Amino acid sequence: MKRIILVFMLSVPFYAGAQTKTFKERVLQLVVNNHSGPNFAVVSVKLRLGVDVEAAYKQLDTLLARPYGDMFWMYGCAGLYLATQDVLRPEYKARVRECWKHFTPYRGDTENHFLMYYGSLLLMSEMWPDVNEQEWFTGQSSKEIHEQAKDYLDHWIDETVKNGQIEWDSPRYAYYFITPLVLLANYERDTTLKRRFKMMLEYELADYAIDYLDGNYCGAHSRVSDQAAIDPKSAEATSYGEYFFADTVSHLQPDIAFAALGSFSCPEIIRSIATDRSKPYFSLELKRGRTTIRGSDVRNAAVYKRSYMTSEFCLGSMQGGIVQPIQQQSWSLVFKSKQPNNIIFSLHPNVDSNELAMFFPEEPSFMMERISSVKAGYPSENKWVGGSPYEHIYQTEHQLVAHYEIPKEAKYHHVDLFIPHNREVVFLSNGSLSADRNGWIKLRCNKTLVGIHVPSGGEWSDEGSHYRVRFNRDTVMIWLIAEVLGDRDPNQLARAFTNAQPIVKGNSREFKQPFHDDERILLNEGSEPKPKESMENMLFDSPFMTSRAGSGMLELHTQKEKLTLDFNKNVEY
Amino acid sequence: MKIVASLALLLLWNSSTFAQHSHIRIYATAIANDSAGAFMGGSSNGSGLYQSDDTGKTWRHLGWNNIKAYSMDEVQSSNGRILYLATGLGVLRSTDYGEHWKVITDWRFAEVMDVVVNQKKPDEIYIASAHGPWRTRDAGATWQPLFMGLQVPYCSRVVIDTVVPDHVMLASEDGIYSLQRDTVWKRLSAYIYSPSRGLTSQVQAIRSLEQISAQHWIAAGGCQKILESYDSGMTFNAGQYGGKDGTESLWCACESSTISKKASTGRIDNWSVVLLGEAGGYRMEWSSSVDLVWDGYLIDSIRHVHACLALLDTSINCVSLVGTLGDGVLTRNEAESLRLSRLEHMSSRSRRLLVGEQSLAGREIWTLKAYLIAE
Repeated sequence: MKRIILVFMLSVPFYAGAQTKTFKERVLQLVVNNHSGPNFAVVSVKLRLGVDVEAAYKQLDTLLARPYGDMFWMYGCAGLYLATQDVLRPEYKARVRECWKHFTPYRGDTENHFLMYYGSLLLMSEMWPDVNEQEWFTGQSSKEIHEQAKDYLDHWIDETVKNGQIEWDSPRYAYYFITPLVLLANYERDTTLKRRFKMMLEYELADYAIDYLDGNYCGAHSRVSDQAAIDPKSAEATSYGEYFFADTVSHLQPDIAFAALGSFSCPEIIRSIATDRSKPYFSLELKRGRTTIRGSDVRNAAVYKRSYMTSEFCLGSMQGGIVQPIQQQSWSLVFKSKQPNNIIFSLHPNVDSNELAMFFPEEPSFMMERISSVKAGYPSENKWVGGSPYEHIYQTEHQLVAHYEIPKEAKYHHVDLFIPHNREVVFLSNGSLSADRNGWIKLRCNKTLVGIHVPSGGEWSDEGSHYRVRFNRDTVMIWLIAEVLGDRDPNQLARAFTNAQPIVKGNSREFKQPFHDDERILLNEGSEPKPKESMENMLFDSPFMTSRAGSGMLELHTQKEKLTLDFNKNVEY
Repeated sequence: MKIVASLALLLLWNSSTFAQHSHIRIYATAIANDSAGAFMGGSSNGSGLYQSDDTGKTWRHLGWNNIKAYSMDEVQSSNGRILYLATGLGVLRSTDYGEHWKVITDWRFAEVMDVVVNQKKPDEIYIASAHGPWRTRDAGATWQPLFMGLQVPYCSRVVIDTVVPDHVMLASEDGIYSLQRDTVWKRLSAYIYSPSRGLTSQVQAIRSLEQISAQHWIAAGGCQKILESYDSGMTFNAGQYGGKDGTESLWCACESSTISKKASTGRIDNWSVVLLGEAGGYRMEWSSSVDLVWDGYLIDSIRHVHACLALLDTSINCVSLVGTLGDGVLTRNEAESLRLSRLEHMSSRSRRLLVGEQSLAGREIWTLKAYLIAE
């Protein structure tokens, strides 16, 4: 009974406007009610609200007695200290101080790790500005720490707004970009820096908003967890999407508390970008691949993202290849649905020590042997996430071709297509789990019509959350077409697929979309996907957002509003 | 108070009187052990720098316990007081025997795989990192990138030539580089990269065999043959010996030394180098009495060997320490070993190395180094 009430409470939306005081109070109450384990954010709320205080201090005892030992511990601890400065008991303040003297947290090796590490150090060095080097775990003085942290954060912001993010559009790690930026935007003491962090938080939220559809982080992702790959709404970032864009918190994560304890509110224009789906739009983005340390002449590969967003679905992709190890999701169709697992995608399960060696410094063969203990799915032929060097993706608005050419040396010689096992997905080919004789799998996915042209011989298996369709061959072409159904009859509309076939012209193939005559994909043998000309120098290019590479400026525009984030002058207007 | 790093025997032999007032201190650098996720960017409690003063029987952890520690060096003239640690977050320095540490690099430095002090000018320090080599000439106050001439950034080892002045060598993804009195690296061996082996063919170790000949160097890695230089590292060529059956690569390589002397003449009679790799290892013996001949046999009872040391204690027993990826340090007391092992070698080319004590269990050992410490 308690659980039922709880679920009901969590699913209740708040319609009071953009993170009003009332909304924030309700969110804080939900955090307290729904998170019982030791967590810095939860303890912060309890201490601030004066709720369950003694139990909160006991939890804090646990958190301070055995620090996890890395940047995740750091930002939580910093958040607690900053959010409860005026109520935290002196003896606990002293214990926190001791932690930052003796514990030696791991800095990590990724973009989100560095933001958490240096963001935490910046704020804590301001808390204790005159502490000498014997009093910090780094052996540096507060002044040295502050200078280095500020230098890194300035560098990261500059690089990101001028050249594109490296851990781009990650449904998991967006959570770990937004949380430290929330803390920096709330608690930084220097007014210029504070404004810069607030602008950067808005930048991250705008980047999220352009790919947001009803709680789903859509399109290609640099890093996604196994669970969120197949169930987009289960991602950590969803909690911030709901909180900032929709004033609801059905997917509650504890760090939301840090946002609710602070003063930041998401600008209305970003909320509009996240929620206005009255007109479809094509969004182009330029990002960077993770820095390669071996096996490549390119340090940060250019990532060309395309997303076509409608009121009912988002079809999104990048060009293929490997730009992030292990967790990349190169393309997907996400459709609006109240059900979980509302996503279609395909992949070639690439497993190769070279992929690991490109991004990690450890011994390649040892990493391959031990990888299953860290990323259990990576070596699996059945994995759900990961890029492949043998995958090329072409996309117009309503259609996408994923082309796989798997060479002999690859470990696995199959491609898997994932189709959701979702009550709102209906198979239009007489309900059978197969492609029709023309090679089309025809689906109604809630209010989206989907046609997927596949090679013959696909092996279907029901894996509970989805169907896996396996093509055991070295050359695979998957051609997907998506169309908003509206009031149209899906069966009647799906007949248009019957005569649609790739047109072979010499060494090339043409894919002509049956519903939109101007949408054609020409695939020449041996050639790789080419970015549109504008994609070479535009970090964002869509009706809602524009940013020229190198400019350090992001312009947001809706019919009603405009907002410019100018990181060169640290102003927004 | 002189370095014995991997060459303890020779110095003990050279300075036996001195050795009576000193002992060997061994350092092991380790990453990962506390959880299944404790590598490849994961948190790693229990990693860091370890010190042993009893030839590997017991170990003491020094400093940071959650850091990817790849390598270390000490300022020999400080008698173990000044230590440098190459780590995932940069370079750390201790000036009190490892009790306290200071990070002496900033956010630009990551995955520092090796650090080496120029013992003739101790404020001059070179590092090799996954993002390229750097140098400081003021003990870490300022750093200069040394990227000029490199084709690729990744480098795993850096060595200062103790014979040729101002000569530094670098083990890189695509071969061996040399730096002499300027800031442009010159690539010495390009062919080491084996496309069929991909990235696992990078150079992992470069060692001087100066005790044998001032001009003699060896290098190895994932390549199928050991590289040798007979001109002070100016040129390298594929040697005769390599991996198992000529196909198994020496995925990593390290060396150890054992030396015996003829009591009557005092001269070195034989010298051995041990190269160990992913599937076990090879002992390459070289005898000065038989015209510089390499020979070898497979040690196939241990895996993922990544570092090794061989030391002679004062009773002239040989202690072998083998650092592994995942199994910590394996120690074997090879009393009577030199003569016997040579006989064993003669009788069987696949004689197993009997593994002795294990310590630092579960850890990846990246470096084992030994120094003489004055009492």
